[in-house]
Amino acid sequence: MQRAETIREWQRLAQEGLVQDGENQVDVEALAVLLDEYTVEFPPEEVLQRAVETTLDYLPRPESTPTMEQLVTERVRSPQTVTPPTLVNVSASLSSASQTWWIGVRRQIQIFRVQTQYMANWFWPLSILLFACGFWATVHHGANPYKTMLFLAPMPFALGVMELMRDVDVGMAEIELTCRISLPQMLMSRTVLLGLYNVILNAAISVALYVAFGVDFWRVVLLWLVPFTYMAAVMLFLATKVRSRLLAPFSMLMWGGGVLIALANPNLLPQLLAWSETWLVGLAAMGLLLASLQMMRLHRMLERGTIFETAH
Amino acid sequence: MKLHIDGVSKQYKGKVALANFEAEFTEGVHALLGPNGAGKSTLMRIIAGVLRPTSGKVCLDGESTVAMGERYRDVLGYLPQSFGLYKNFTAERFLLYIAALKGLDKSVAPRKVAETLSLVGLGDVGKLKVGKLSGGMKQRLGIAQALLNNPKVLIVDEPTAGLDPKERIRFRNLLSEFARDRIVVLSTHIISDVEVVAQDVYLMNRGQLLAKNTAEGFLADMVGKVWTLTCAEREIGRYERKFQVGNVSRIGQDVKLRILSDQAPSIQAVAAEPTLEDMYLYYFKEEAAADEVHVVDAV
Repeated sequence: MQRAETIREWQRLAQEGLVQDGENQVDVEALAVLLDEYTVEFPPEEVLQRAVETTLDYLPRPESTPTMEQLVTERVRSPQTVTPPTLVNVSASLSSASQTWWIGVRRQIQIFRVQTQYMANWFWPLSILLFACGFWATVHHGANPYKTMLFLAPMPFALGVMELMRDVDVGMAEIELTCRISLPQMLMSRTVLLGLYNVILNAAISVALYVAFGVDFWRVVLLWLVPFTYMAAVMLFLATKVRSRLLAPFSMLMWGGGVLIALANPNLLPQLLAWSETWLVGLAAMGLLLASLQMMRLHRMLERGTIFETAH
Repeated sequence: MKLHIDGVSKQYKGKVALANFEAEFTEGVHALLGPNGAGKSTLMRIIAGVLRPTSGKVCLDGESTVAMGERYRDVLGYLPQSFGLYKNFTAERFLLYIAALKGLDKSVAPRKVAETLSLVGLGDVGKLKVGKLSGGMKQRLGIAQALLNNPKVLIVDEPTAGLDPKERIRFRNLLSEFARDRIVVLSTHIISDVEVVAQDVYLMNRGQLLAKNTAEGFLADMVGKVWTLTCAEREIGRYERKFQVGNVSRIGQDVKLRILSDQAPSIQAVAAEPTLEDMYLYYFKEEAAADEVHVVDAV
């Protein structure tokens, strides 16, 4: 209807002789003047809709993206579930990211499971036995609970170092480096497992000592946390330098003996207990940093094969 | 499938172990041959991703194996030249452990382990502790772990070392069968292994690629360079000083020398059919003597 009216307007102009002169030439100036004053009527809604629908078919769109028609139909049915095409892509990326994250978590759990399953059978019960003996000695033989805690603090980790580098020690490292779960990943997982196990045992005995003797719980925690982190850093450093199964027992002996000898001085323990908590937290943080640096160093050595280059 | 070794070099504390090595491996067995210190094991370690090269890269189908990471390790089987095993594990438990590390599904792993043990002739010792196995059995267990994930790229460094002749034949056949649609890179001192299974041979010395050819190609190149000569025992020294002498065998009072020379060493010398052992001696001379090349003619 509108188109018909427009044609009629031009027809009217032609009839008035403003558009064409005698030689069928357009009088541009006259037309420009006319258009300055010319107004276009806004088309009705249904005409606009038809134009949009016609042009939609020619718009490129990904195969997986729903058509506008589908989206509109869906919106009518359930306005809550409609997602514009661009948001569909964003949502797909987010879903993919969460899937990747979940795969990563499952993978890490799998690595932990394999490491726990194939860790030497003696390690878990022996560590528990060590702590049980410490607790028993404190309860039944009047050992100072703080001394017990200091003595036991890094023992499971030191003991676990035997397992930490077993691949390199027995000559399995080259094979394990070429597996899907590669040696650096295993070693990191094993270190975390050992650390966690040590922390759990330390926390358990701290609670037990708190319940049995009413010791200052947080002070006890800080008292084992500091030596544990430093000893872990030292053990990780030594593990790359010393290839001997004697490293673990030797280190345990050195630590245990050192603690007993040092604490034979009656003034030392009260001095340690008098240290401020802020100071102990700072020391523990520094120890944790050192241990993390050692872990990263070990990881790099294995990843780059530096550990094998030393054999040449 | 193509494994491209793209100008790979490796230096240890300034000493060149591998210099700008170039090769392209496709499906089949590719043998690396060379004396000790030639750089074979270094190259194998770099291909397996155990060592990082000082320069150059290894690509599988155009993609760097370092960038591929886990995807490359998924299709890789590797047997190092020397390795240790967890002595307290049984053979079966050991392979189950490796299966777990290689990401084999728990439901599939026991069957796959049993199959692989049987494949390497260890089917009846699966319950035996690794510490109780003989050297040859341990070597076969090493081979088994490399095959466990049905790899598309198999890197085996001296795989037949320590195997008896029967097992060596079994492994050679296994390798030939396996290499039909897979890439196998083999390093060995045992020349007869190369002669039988390798589709091409890479000769290496002092970290460099000396020559590459098929076994037949190398043999063809040696025609006219191998001679036999029967002489008195006292003349051995004279020939040894002037020529590269291979086998010396006694015939009654005289000796029969196998001489490598571009020209006939004497008018009595008779041209002989070359073998790969001759080729090895021709290329490596002193190194071959020092290495005591293993030639297993019976196999």
